[in-house]
Amino acid sequence: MSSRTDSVSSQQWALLQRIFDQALEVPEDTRDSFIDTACQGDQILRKQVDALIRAAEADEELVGDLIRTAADQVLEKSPKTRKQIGAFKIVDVIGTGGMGVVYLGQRSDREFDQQVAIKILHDELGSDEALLRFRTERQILADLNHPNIARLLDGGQTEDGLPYLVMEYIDGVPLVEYCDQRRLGIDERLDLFKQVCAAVAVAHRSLVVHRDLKPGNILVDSEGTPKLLDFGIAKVLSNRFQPTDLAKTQLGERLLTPDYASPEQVQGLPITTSSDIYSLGVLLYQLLCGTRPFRLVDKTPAEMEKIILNDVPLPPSQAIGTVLKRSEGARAIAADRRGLTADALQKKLAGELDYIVLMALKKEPQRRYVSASQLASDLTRYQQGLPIAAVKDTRRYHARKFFQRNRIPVTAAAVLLVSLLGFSIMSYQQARAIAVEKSVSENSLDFLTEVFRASTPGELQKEVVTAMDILDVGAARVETQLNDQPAPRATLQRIIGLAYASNQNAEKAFEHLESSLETRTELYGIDHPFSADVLQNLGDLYLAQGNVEKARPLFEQALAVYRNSVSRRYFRGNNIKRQGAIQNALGDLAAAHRLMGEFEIAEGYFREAIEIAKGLEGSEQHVNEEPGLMERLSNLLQERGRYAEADEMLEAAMVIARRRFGDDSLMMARLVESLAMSQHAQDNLIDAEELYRKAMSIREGKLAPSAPVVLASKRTLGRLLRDRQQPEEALVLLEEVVEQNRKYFGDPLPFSSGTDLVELSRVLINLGQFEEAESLLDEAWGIYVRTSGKRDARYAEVLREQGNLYVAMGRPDVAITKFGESVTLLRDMFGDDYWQTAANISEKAEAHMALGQHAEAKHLLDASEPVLHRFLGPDHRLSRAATERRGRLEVAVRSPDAGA
Amino acid sequence: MSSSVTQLLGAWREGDDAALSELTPLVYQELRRLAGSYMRGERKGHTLQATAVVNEAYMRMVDMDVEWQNRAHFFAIAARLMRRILVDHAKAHRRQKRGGKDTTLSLEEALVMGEEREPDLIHLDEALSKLSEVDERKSQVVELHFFGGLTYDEIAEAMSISAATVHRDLRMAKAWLNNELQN
Repeated sequence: MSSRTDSVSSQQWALLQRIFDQALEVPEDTRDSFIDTACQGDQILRKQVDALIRAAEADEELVGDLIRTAADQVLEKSPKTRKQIGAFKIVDVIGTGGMGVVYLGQRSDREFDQQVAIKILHDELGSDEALLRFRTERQILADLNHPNIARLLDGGQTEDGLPYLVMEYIDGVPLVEYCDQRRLGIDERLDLFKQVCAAVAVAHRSLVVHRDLKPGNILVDSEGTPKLLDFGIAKVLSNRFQPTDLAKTQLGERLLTPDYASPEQVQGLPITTSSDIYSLGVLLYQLLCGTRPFRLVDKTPAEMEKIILNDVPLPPSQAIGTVLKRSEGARAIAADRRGLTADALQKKLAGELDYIVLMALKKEPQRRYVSASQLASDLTRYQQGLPIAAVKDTRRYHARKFFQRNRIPVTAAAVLLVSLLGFSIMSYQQARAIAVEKSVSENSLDFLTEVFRASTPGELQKEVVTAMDILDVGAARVETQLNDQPAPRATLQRIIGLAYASNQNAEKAFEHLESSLETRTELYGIDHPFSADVLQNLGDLYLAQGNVEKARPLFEQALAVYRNSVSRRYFRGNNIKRQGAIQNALGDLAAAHRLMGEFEIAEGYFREAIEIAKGLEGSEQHVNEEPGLMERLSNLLQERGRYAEADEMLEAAMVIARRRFGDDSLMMARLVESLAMSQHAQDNLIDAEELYRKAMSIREGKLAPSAPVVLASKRTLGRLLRDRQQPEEALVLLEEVVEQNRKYFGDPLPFSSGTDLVELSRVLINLGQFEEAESLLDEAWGIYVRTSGKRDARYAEVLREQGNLYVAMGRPDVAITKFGESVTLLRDMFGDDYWQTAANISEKAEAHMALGQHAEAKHLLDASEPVLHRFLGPDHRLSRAATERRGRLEVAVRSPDAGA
Repeated sequence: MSSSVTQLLGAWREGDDAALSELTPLVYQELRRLAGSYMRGERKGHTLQATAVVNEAYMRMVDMDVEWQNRAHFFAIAARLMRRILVDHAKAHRRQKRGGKDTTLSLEEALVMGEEREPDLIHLDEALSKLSEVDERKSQVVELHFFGGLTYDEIAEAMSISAATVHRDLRMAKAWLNNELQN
């Protein structure tokens, strides 16, 4: 140790203290210069001040820690020296708590290995009377048998006369920690807490009071079951066998867990079952808002007592985060641990949950809940949306006062009656809905068996029976066979409708989905998630048809239903399912808005959906949609020319997809393809080609050549090759795509094939095969007109290619009409300030140039070029095409024969 | 017992130094007994074990309606005693570790011991004694706060200084001790 302080004079010491104190008050950035001045060149003093400041700022609790460690050593009384207690071998020391050491013991004298927790009290029992009481108490606890209570298995006295208890060993996580680690929502927390209440209620019925309920005594095991430890142990093991000492030991006891102790416990008054209710209230408080009702840290026993006896706790909704530091950060963290935003958590707790907690925390035992089961059932009533006792208590209280003053006692009863009636009707409907759904699965199985039996080649008089044939059989039978069973019929119709939809048979898909919706609306009402599921499916179908106008309101309606059906009804206990449904509806709604050109709205919905998907990560009940949604958002960003953001998002999605689905998964292929498209759009054609090929090879390795995504790969690669000036290779790929479509779907082609026809026609124009291109474009136009309600970007695409075709064919007048129509469409959707519109305008100029209308052409080029440059940059293919066009125009204007 | 302790406390506060010498062994005995049986509490991070022991001793030994100032004085005694108990134990523990022979160490043993030169309670005790030579009051404040678990206000009362002084004393003492122990 250094000796520099040995010679310190009291004067020097006082100076050192003064500089030290003042330096700590000075702002950090001026501290050094302050010390310099204060030390007046005394280097030794300066060094001492520096060392002290450093030590003070290190903020290490070295002194406290040393004393704590030393105290622990003194107090431990070498617990590891024991090897055997009764029939149990000591394996380890679990900890020290309550009033004894706890060991992990193992019974190996039998066939099975049993792990137990053994608690040994340090003080001897003393009198025979005390020993007798110890035995009696032990017997009562041993009889306590409940799945949520760790059992007392055995007990006795060690050789050196110390009493011990043997308990079921629970390997688990303390309740609060468990909830926070898993970010359990409020409903899930309430469900766990109610199990704790049930266990406490059972013990109370045997007149056993826990006395020491706290998170550390409630462990959640690997199966998610909460287990209560040390039930009544506080009493058995407490050193309280001399009645005279009662009050004081109780006061001593409170030192162990004052945070959960009731006012009567703190005062040393008799402890009853109601004291446990209070402790449960503290626990519930903590589970809900992340803090305890009172801040007792660093308080003296007297201060603690005063607080517990007199202070009224804040309602949990007001206490989110910590009592002391109610900063936004603390609130946000507490809320995040419950899967909510701070405001949402506050809203959720405010009102009924506040009342319930505060009722459990009443100072007077007789004003608390009468029993733990009453507390639990009030929580259930809250979860079911029924009126709760806690609120009723205060309302009745106020009502009683009111009526005492006013003497009109009739109305209140009437109001109560009406509200009760309302609730019972609701729960009747709910019960009915559940019963109906139960029969669906059984009936569906029978039905499917019948369908398969009827779908043999013999029955159908066909050589090969396809899935489509089986579907047709099922569709025909569902009407006749399940006529009197509406619920299973609606479910099967929905499934059949979906099957038709995925086989591009829109007509039959609509038919079945619509009648499913009709039946479900009749059975459950339109605002039930069962009906919303079908609304969502219908919306998807309309969207696949390009009919955004019809799709969007359906998604909106479904979303509203999902959002309004809180977990207590259809999604009861399955909030994940609800979140998943909301997420899907949001994603589809985003897609609809994107097609309508409302990009900002679409982006908002996508981001919301991604947030939800993120929250569902790791849940086994739900496929991870996060990367898929990110890919869709990335496409939107690409469309807006926000390539950097788009690429970044795709890379993030790839990290997730790689982890969840693997490197050669179809999801990866989708993301790689999207990245390829982004590179393509940015004119990085070589990178794009490599990525397209990578996506294609993943898909080809997993799927049949006719699979839609394999064809999509060929289409995108074909388009790229065309842009790389390799029209022959492009033609091979795109022709194959169209051919496969025709083979699979026959005539007419479905809506989704429209793009393929347009892409193929583009290559044909490049190759000079105008007639074929013309007929393909006409066919695509026909498909869109037949299926899609509103003229959207797809129409514009056909018109634009027709424009290009007619320019190439030397019929600029027709081209101008086509371009004019497409520009009008794009302008309606996206406005003038958008690259697609600009590209189209620029191409229209080409037609005017061909007619010698130079002024008109120049006007169009002037208007479109800046937009292209801004969105795509000057080096982009489309920008370069525009520049080149301008060059030709200028040449034409200057040439002598140009005077028209 | 509790009434006699209360009386002795009162007498000591009135200026009867003999009362202190009578009081000390009583408190010491009780602290030792409690330290032997008192187990680790729940809130390890917040309340010192020693504090809890002192608290319990107080509740067992002193009448509940004792004047608040007497309480502070009781804690002042208990804190000093607690320090002694803990340091004695730590010394015994260290001897035990050396196998009982506190004499010669082999070179190997000396190296091992050398590695163990982390600051321990004995070093703290030495540093605290050293501090008391330079600044008696600060060492007492540390004792009361860390071994006795007294709040600033209680220390202020027990030592007849202001709470602000207690705060400043503790701040500097902690820094000084930290610095001393780290070197």
